[in-house]
Amino acid sequence: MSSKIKRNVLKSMIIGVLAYMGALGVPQPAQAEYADVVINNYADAAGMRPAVFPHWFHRIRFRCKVCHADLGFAFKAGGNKITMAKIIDGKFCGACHNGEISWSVENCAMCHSGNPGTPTHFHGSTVQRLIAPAYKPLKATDTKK
Amino acid sequence: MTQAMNQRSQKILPAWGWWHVVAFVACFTFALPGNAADIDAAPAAQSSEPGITAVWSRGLHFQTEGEVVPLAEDGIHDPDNDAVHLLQEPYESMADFPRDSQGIIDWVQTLRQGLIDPRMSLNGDDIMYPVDFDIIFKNTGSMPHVRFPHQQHTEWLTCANCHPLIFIPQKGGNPISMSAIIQGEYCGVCHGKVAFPPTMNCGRCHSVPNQANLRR
Repeated sequence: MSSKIKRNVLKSMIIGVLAYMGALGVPQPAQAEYADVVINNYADAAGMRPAVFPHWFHRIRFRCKVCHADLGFAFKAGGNKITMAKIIDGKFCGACHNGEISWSVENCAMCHSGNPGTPTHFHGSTVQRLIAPAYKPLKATDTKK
Repeated sequence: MTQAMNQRSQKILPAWGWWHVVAFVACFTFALPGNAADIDAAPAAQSSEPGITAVWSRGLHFQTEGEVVPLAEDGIHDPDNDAVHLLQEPYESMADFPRDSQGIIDWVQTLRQGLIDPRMSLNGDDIMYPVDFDIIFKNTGSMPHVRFPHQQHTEWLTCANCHPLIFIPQKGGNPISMSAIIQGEYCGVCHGKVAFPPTMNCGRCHSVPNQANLRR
């Protein structure tokens, strides 16, 4: 009887170790900052990395109201249909990123820094974690505001 | 009789050591479809590392104390992109910021302590119009009542950000519920995305003692 228990204990220990090693292989969740926005409406289709917008960096420097009231950014990830044409025209990001208030659009890779294929999403968002797992990517033709 | 039942049950059930194997396999069968679904949710163009795109939606990192995750390794930035190393690291600038009881950065305190001085317009020549006007929501069931302070919100936002599209400016005119907030409506437009999330630190909103509870 005792040998049977020993064998069972040994067996469960081996299985436990295997399970632990298996768990190590499971990929860990991304650890980007809370409220980082990945914007991939058109970037992937155009062969660019998706743009990453760090909320924390910008809210240290500007009140919410400056972008979300004065510049007209909607409260929705990917909901502004921003294109490079609009930015160069001085709209959205282009209001600051014009070489005067901040660095200009020549520094492509500073914004377009995301992992290729990452869909448009709001990092760490409650809605995304609990309700809707992903935002639908917009169609490439849907550029009209 | 009991002996017979034991023998019978032993015959029906496999030897108990096998239950570990079953549990082990079950763990993997439950774990794998989640990852597979996330891969399916991502658009057709996949990165070279499918593991990273598979887990983006579950990521959490509330600028946690003591955690140092370089931008290149945070899971959404491309480590092959040289420009990522030019960007400012989050822990570099936010190390000293005050935090609430859940360890999430308390931006209201950060602003009030003067650690940051965010501009009020593009050029910084505008001013904010803070209103000191609290609203107490009393339909909170057995939870403490909710105090909504206009003061803290109008230090960051202007009236038109919330009124009238998110909140009708009328007493009792907005059927706010936790369910709606968690689905990203009303307070959930910001709380759960950029401001502290509704699933942590209930007491920051539910801060007014509920008489129904005190009597008990």
